[in-house]
Amino acid sequence: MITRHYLVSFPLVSVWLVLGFACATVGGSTFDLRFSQLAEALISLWRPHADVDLGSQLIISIRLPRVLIAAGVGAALAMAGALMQGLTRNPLASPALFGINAGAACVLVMTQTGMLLFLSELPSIISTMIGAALSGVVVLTLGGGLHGRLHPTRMVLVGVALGALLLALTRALLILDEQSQLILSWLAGSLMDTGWDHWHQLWPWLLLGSLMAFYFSQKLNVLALGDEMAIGLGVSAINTRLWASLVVIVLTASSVAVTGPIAFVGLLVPHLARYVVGHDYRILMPFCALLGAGLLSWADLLSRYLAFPSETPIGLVTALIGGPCFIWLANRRKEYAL
Amino acid sequence: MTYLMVVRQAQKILLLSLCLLFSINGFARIIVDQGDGLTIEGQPKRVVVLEYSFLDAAVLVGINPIGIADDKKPERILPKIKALLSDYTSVGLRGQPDLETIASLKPDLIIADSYRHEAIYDELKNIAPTLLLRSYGAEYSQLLDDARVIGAALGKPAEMAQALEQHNQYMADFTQRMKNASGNIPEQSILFAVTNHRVMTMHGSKAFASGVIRRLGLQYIAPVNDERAYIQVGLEQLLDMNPAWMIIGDYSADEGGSDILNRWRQHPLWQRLHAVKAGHHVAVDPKAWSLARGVFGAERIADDLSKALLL
Amino acid sequence: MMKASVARQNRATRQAILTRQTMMLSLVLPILLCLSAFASLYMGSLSFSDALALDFIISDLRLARIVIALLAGAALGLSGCLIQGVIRNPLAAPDLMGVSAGASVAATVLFLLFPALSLGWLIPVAIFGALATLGLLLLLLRHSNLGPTQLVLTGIALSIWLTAFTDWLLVSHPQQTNAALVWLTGSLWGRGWNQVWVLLPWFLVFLPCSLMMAFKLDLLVLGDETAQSLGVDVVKTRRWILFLAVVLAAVSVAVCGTLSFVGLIAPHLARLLVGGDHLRTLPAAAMIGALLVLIADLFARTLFAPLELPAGIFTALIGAPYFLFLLTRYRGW
Repeated sequence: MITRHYLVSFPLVSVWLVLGFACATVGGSTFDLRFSQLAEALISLWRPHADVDLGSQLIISIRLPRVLIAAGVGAALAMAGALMQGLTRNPLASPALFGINAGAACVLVMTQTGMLLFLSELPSIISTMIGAALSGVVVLTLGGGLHGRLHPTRMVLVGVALGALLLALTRALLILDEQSQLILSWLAGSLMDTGWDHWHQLWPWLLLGSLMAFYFSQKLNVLALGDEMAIGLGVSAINTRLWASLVVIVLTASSVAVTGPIAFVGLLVPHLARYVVGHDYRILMPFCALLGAGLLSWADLLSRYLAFPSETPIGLVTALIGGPCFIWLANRRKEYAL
Repeated sequence: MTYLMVVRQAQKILLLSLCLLFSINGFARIIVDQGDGLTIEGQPKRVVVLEYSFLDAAVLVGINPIGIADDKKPERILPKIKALLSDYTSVGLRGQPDLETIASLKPDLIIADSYRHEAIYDELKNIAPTLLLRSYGAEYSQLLDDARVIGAALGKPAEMAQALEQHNQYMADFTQRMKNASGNIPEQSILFAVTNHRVMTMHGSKAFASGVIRRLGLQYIAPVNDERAYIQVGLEQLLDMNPAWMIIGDYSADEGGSDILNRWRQHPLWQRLHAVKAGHHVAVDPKAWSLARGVFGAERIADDLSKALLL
Repeated sequence: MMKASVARQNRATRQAILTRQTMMLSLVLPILLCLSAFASLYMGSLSFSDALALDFIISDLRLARIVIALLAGAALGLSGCLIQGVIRNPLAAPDLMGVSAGASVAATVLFLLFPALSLGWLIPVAIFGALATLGLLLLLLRHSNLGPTQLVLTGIALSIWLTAFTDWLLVSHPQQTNAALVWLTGSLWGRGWNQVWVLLPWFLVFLPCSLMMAFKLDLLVLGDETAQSLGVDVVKTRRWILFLAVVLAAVSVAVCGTLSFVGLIAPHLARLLVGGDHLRTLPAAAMIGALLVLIADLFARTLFAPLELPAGIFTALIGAPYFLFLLTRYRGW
């Protein structure tokens, strides 16, 4: 019975993802792009030949990396959210609500505006990782981690307050650096002008992060039974938490470094996924990756059409979609059970 | 129509009738602007301008403003204008000029932008008579009309008319030269964009530079159905418009060039742009082309274009 | 004998505390307010002597800003205090309940779609937006018993969503954003006597109203049944107080934009300083709110002069850490 369930849901989501991916690569253009051109582009990618028309070249060199980044970031944030929810047994845990996104963005802006000079020589992913790690530690500490009792709502409130603090700081930095026009677009998360170079910067971390996330899903299952049970089954709760937190930081930081903070993917996707495939993290994790990738591909398409021909930052699109979902989650009558 | 608008209309009518009355005496004159209109007597001596375009108009009739909202970056003022300018005080950013500094200059006329400064219009009026005109996103023809208004406000309508006549002649000469030049230049499309590290912003069909280019008898290319003056573009939109000439003003030219432009130069599709293939890719000073919206700015654009287009 | 002396001693301590609190309310806070108002009057991008030479700068620019900071801050402080009193929730505040965000959305829509409408419309529209948000919040929470954290969570969720909506409106109307951005970043730049005259009537009506509620709030604190038996219509009173609080918050948002965390921390500080008696807490919260906004604006104006930062950034920089501190102290999880 259960196996049959997966046999339906995985292919369905894959088809949905591929469809979204294909539509996002050709849709919302001032050019008249067609699916046949996408096919031609993919063929030429596999077997290069000289006489590729402009549309296909455009798809290869502009559209494809962009949608790849969207899908990759979506998968990364969704897996990060699932990991966080498993780690903290908190249904509201996600990179945005816990201030991890804001921390990464704040340190990144600090380095770029020359405040943290010693970091500016290093790749931007290092600064985002430091920021993500710092805000993660603050949220865990103030969220009750010191007393060994993480309280779900308390962590969210700490995360939101921390996020507000860091956002204010980031805004001030951008205004002082005369880049206030960036506040609206970049701080919401945007895919404008991302190219293959960004993809090359993103994918190694993404690969590393997802492999580790898959590796930890078995341990998360054990952890879900409770810490004592986990120790009884030979899984070190503390070690697992520590390593999985590192994975969260890698996944979140690498995506913030490329697109800026994109909200609500990490919150929304794991819940949807759990609704469809249940609580087994070995199944949940890959399903989250697929679903997150699909969601952001479609959001990318939407971001082109919402105010065509100009673009809406993709983070705003996800916030507009994800907001009601968060309201629903925050307001469920059933007490939190994970 | 709200109560306030009715009052404003009534004020305008009253002012206009006053104008008739005074113009017979020749003392004061009424100026109709984007705000409530104002009456000015004599020639204002202490003028504060809150946009570069107003500076352009003031200098054109020989007025040296005592305060300029220059974003604390004097290098943003066109060299030609700067040469005619003696000392002045910076009043801060154009977006948020410092009211205290403006007041401390004790101006007798302030010229403000109807887009940026409407929120502080009343405060400015408390400091001195304030002329509210278009500058941000204004078209070339509107700016010339407003220059006339500034000339009238400064008590130099004849000088302004003469300066504008000269300007018109300058532009007409240029248009003629373009027509006579070889290579069928008036048929070729031109696009102007500015860039900093993170974004490339093209000027739309309503922007100042595009108006000037059309005035010179040349073709300007811009997205259809897009009324905006400034449009953020990606490489994809550039390829879509594919202009014959691409004129780019890089604000980050001193810092090793714009990141975005450097990345695009490596891009395989960059070579597919007609302008790049033909070597019609011109770098200009963005401050002159985008900020100096006025007569000096328009002539600077004409000069730059003649250098670039007429080999 | 022992008992009597202990009782006397207790009474003496209580008397001392009461005297201290009265001192706070009637002396220390007003003096602090006056001091920071004078500091704001004294400091600016021009030196005081230069500014004095032009009575305009002092009397129009700085004074008007100070008055607005005082009014807006007091409105926020009062609003927070009323909300926390009536919901009996230490974490409730206009911005954490999404009410401020609702007011901003309405004001932004007004700015972008009807730019010709006059300033006077802004406040009613903002109030409408804020009330609609409160209605939505209460509708969402109709089945729960308004537990402290659930209210805040739902409020934050609403707030984030509405903020995204505001941002989307701004991004999709780039030609008109300047006015809206200047108004809604939580800044006092360019505010003058005009705004004071728009703000003042609302304030004059609703400030006495909310102070009059102090007595009823104290009765509500005794519990619904006790309050009912003392002749208070609990449901009706709650509704009125919430209405007052939302209107006060919306009025301040309409004039200054979102000054975050003021409505949250002003009542807490007030209770800390003058105790939980609402006849004292309400005026104290108003004064502390005013003080916070005044100081934030002073920093915003002078720290990087003549370049100016939005005051809302500073209230967040002061308020968010305090909120974090409150969370570590809160025991009702």
